[in-house]
Amino acid sequence: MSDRPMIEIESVSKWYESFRVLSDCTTAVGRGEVVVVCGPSGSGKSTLIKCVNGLEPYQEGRILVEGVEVGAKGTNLPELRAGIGMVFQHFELYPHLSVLENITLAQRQVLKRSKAEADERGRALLARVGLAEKERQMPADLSGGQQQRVAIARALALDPKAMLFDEPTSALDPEMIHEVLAVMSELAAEGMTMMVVTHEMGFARRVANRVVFMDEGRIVEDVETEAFFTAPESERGRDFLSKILNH
Amino acid sequence: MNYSFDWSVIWEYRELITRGFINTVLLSLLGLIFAALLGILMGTLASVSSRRLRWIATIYVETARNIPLLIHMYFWYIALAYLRLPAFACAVLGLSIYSGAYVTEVVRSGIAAVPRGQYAAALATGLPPFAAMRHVVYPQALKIVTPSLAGLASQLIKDSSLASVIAVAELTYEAGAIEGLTFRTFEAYIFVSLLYLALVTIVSQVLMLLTRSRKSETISVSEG
Repeated sequence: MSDRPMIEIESVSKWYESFRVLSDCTTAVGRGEVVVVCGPSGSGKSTLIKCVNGLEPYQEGRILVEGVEVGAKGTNLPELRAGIGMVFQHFELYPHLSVLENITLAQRQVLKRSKAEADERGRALLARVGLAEKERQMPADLSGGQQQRVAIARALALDPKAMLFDEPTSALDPEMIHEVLAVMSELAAEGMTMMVVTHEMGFARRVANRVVFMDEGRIVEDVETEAFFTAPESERGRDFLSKILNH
Repeated sequence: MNYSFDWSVIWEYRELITRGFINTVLLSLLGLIFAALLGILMGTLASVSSRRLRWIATIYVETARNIPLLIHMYFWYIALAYLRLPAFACAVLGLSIYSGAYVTEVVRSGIAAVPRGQYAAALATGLPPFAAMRHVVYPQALKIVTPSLAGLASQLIKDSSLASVIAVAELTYEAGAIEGLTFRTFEAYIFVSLLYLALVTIVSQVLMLLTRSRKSETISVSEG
């Protein structure tokens, strides 16, 4: 079973009322693999990634995380989510808590670590994302790039087996994008399993093992990174690439 | 107008007034606690995705809020007469259920003012729904609605005077009693008014101070 993918998405469909946002999506993310999900806005890529940790329900198909079905009735969602870190477009740091408290809350509440343990782990992670001296600050006092790095540290604090990134750089000023991508590249190099929704094609080409291209709720391409950039199979993929690379 | 005031009756009946004041404070305090609990519970129900649970909150709010408090007091007093509940308990019930409806609306609006992404982020770290509310959503919502809650608290203290109609010996009731004994209507009601004024002013000022100190705390932490 060791070569079973970490995340398996099988024929997943999702509707908002009668509007179909996901149509028969199938893909998988292997252990240590980095998969970039891209596509035009409204293509369902964020929705798909939020289905993986059950933040969005789906109506058809199956999603398995280490063999556990996300949408099944008896699944312990909090436990499953604690094993998958997630980073959001708008950071979503808790504004009423200090930087360090943002990183220790779930450690203490979910993993039941002591304050000393959680603080120590939090400080180590802050140092790792280059923000050691910011632990007592409030999130609002940090730049967007710094906030997003704290958000990554918050997710890593639970020692996740996989990380989901939902457009982690889309809300950032251009000069801050690099610092966040650098942290993500480092994570990937260390062997973290990652599913990344992003428009950063440079990052995708450098770091991703595979690219999943979505359009109108469907997975149109699911290929090796180089194959996607050099010879996209679909008309839609070629069109998207030419627009995003030649702007 | 040749009414001559005789304030000695206040001193003479100081025991009644003290008892009334204590009962008003107790009634208000218990009313505040239960109204807050009820309001947090129903305000949370009003914010969940399940339509059925939201209905429960809506029905509660509309029923409790659209019936006069006086009728609430009579209802609990008369309908529960066979339970032999003391009048004081009936007044706490009436006051809590009536005011709880207003607290519900304030709590609901506070929760709605916290971005949904905050709750999702808390869930994503593995916090169960209740823990996500408790540690992430409620503290932020509370900060937003504290001024409204302070307003409701002073309203509730004033509303507690209606308990006098079901013979709860609180301030207003005792003012009536002193009036009945002495015919010193003005003295009794003016003095009691001053006590209400003092009580409500103190409570609302303290609540305002609490909000302000919490705000300055945030600022000092961010500078530190």
